[in-house]
Amino acid sequence: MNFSFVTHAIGRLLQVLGLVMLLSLGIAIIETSPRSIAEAIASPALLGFVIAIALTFFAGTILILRKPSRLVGNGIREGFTIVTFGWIIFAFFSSIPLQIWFNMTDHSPFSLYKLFYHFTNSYFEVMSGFTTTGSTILTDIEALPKSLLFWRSMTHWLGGMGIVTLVLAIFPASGITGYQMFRGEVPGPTAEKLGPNLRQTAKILWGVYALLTLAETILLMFGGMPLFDSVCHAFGTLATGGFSTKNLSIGYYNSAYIDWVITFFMFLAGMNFLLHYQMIFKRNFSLLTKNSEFLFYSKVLGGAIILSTLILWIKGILPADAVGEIFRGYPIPSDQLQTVVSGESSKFDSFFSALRFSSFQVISITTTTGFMTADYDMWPNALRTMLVFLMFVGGCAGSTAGGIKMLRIQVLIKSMIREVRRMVQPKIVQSIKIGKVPVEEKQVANIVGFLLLFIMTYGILVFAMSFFVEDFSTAATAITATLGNIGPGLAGVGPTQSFNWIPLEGKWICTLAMLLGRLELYTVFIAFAPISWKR
Amino acid sequence: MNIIIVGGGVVGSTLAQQLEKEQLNHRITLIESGQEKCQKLANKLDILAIHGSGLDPAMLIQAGIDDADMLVAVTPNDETNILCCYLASRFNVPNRVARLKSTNFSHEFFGLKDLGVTDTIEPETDTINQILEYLYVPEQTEVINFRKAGIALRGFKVTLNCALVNHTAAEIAKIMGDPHVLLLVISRNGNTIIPNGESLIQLGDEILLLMPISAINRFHDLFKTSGDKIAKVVINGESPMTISLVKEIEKRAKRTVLISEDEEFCRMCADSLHNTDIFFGDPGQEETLIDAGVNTANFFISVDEDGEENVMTALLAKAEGAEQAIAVTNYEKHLQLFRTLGIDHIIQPTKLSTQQIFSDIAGFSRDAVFRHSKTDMDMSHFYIESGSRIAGSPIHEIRKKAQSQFIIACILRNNEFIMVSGITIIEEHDDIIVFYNSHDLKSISKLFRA
Repeated sequence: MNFSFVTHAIGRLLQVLGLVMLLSLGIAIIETSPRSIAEAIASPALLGFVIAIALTFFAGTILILRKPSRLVGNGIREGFTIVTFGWIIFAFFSSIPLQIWFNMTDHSPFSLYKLFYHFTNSYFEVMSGFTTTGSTILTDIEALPKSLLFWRSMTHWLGGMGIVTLVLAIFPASGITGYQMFRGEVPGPTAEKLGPNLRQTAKILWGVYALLTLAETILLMFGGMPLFDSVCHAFGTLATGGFSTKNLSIGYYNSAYIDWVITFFMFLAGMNFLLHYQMIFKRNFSLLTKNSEFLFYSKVLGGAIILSTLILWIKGILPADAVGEIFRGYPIPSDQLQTVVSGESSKFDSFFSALRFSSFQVISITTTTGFMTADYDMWPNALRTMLVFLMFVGGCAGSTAGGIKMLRIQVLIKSMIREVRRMVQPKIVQSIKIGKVPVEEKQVANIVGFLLLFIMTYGILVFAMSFFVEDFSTAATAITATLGNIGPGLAGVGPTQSFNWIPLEGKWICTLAMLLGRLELYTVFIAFAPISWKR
Repeated sequence: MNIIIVGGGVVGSTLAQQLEKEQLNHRITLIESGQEKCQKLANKLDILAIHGSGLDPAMLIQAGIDDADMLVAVTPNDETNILCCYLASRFNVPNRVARLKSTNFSHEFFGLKDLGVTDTIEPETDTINQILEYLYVPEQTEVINFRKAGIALRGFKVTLNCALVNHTAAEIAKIMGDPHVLLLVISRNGNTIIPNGESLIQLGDEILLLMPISAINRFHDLFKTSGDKIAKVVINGESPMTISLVKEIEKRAKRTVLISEDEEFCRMCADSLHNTDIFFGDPGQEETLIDAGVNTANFFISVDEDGEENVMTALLAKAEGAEQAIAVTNYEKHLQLFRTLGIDHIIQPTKLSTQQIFSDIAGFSRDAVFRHSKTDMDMSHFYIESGSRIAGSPIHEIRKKAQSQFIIACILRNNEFIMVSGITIIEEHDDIIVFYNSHDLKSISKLFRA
């Protein structure tokens, strides 16, 4: 392992982070408009950003000072290590503004526990942002100053397309490691190059991403959403993140127009960005009818939406007493239970209303966004189970979504069918094809291996989590939601709940799950594997 | 004639052999790069065999390219063949034939004419087309296309659901929707009948039809037996043409199965074929055939490199229950044996291409362009020289003068296909195709050549 190379690259990452944080600092200045330095220091958000930027630049510059020695070898170890540690360190520096704000607004006496408690919360929140998970530890989101809300959404936006990819777009790709880093970060089993080189590819991806974000922002503003909220929600949607600026998430606006705009853009964000590139820049719309993964994605979503719409429209949500039995971190007071449930129930009275709410939740969950307009924890058990399955599936490869990814699911299903067939006809030779493109056998093995790794990691994390959380569905779906980068789970971490009440140990487990999920396990395992550290 | 053949493979040596048999004092020179092969050919045939590369101008000069009438490049390598023709064009050789395996080169972008190729022979493509013909109309016994002349010859058995059964010869053109379709001969219970307009086509007859190539699609539509798609076709083999053959069959069959004993080839096929089940195994073993479901196959096609194995596998498949078996082989003896063995169709790729060189491209052969073994009838191609005795007279007069019976199948005048009747007048520079009893070869040749 070439350490100087790794530290140098991470230094570059931090410099980029410092630059991006300046944006939030600008918002903090506008928001507080301090008339003197003393006033500025008194504002926790402003102070937080100043300190964070200073520290980030300082650390970045120190790491960059040492010139890297020449890289020998294939650069895989270095690439994957840069990505993994880059993300860990990135999240640390990004959490500084939140830490300062939490500490300064928490007026309880100073203690090391308090420091660690807020560090955990801030780190969880920022990691949730960068990994586009969208799980939050905040119970009152609206209490946060705008600069911090913006920063939360900004972390989504940066993490969605990938911080390393961003750095690659800005700085010339550093040779062989460039591709390895890109590979380590891009979601899905294959990292396709769109342009002649990596820098071009990274630029195209970010270009498409920025364009779609702009489009959504404008469309949301037409629906009457303020500029600030529109930008934040567009960040959250395209990154398939899920952080909102409101406690009630998108439900706050209670507007069919806004719901449909966000539903549409969540759907877009769950698609392979290669398709967007082809459609926007090459005017090649025929891909939509040919791309096998996209068709599968549309069918899965279509099926799930039809099923949930029909069940909810005909059968409705659970009765109040059944809802009351569901475990919650913040139980609904029993005198309000009836009102809350009937309020939820009224969303599914008419067919179109049922369609609107169910498609929003289904797409939000499948694309691993995690916005919500209805409490799906009150839905019939079959639908909740379906949503948990969809959490595992996730969006398409090459999108900003998390989960196992449609492409992998397709390959897994096909390889399953192939095995069954091979039992009956032992001499048959079959390739697994996505569309008409054969998948290499190595790739198939990699994907089957990925599933095993995913299941085992999931099992271990759920087991670890159940030491700290007594309710099973809470423990299990907390890991599902974080490992799949969705955000909300069921029961104690359901759509109306927060992760705040979970013990610190549980929060760290979830933080780890988010990182593993975002970097698709392999990258993190490679970075920590002993083989990577041998000289 | 002075003929240079480049490449002494199966096609090259068959061609040399055929030319030698003609005994027309052709001067045949064969250039072969393999020392041993070259020696063998020199010993076996009365030709000049030179060891060397066909792309070496010095070698070509040594082979007498300066006064060659024709160069046939039949090495296994398409690019070499094209380049050989290009070289020949520099030496002003009038006929330059290249053997092509890949269909890429027939693309107009290549402009083969500009590259010096005057004609091509494509044994692989021809074989595939021939197999597809049998899939369309399995009752066919003769399938020959004269590409340059633009005519096609089809012999087939008249079955119960055949569109022509109980119709007269005169009605055929109407049924086929093309006035140029001509009934040449009917073979009934071992008797040969030269038909006239009133001849009735009966069940069990074997008939020969001549038609313009453009009428073939109509022919397929009329005579295909298996509806729109064949239920199941099993193909065996790993020769280079297998993949393109299977791709064509995929379009025509509901289920396509490929068997190969080359694992890597199986993988490659699995990647590039989308609607075919591929089985890896020895097709000579029963269990492989059973695994691939040969017993329910409508067609079993064996297109492996080894002809002998193809015939054996096809027989095995037939024994397992395949309805029809088609085998590809280059052995002459197989052709004689196959009917008694029970294989439905045998295809000889080299014969297809040498036949083409003789009948279609060069036109110098005195031998028949086609021989109908059932009826002993021959078809020959004659060119009416200027000053010919028969030029200017109508056909019925020529018939009267002639000592033997014949049918003028068609006339090609200025590359146009002309329907013939008794009053049609033969002109100078006509290309005529004549159908006659093989015993009368001498008198017929005299009549049209003099």
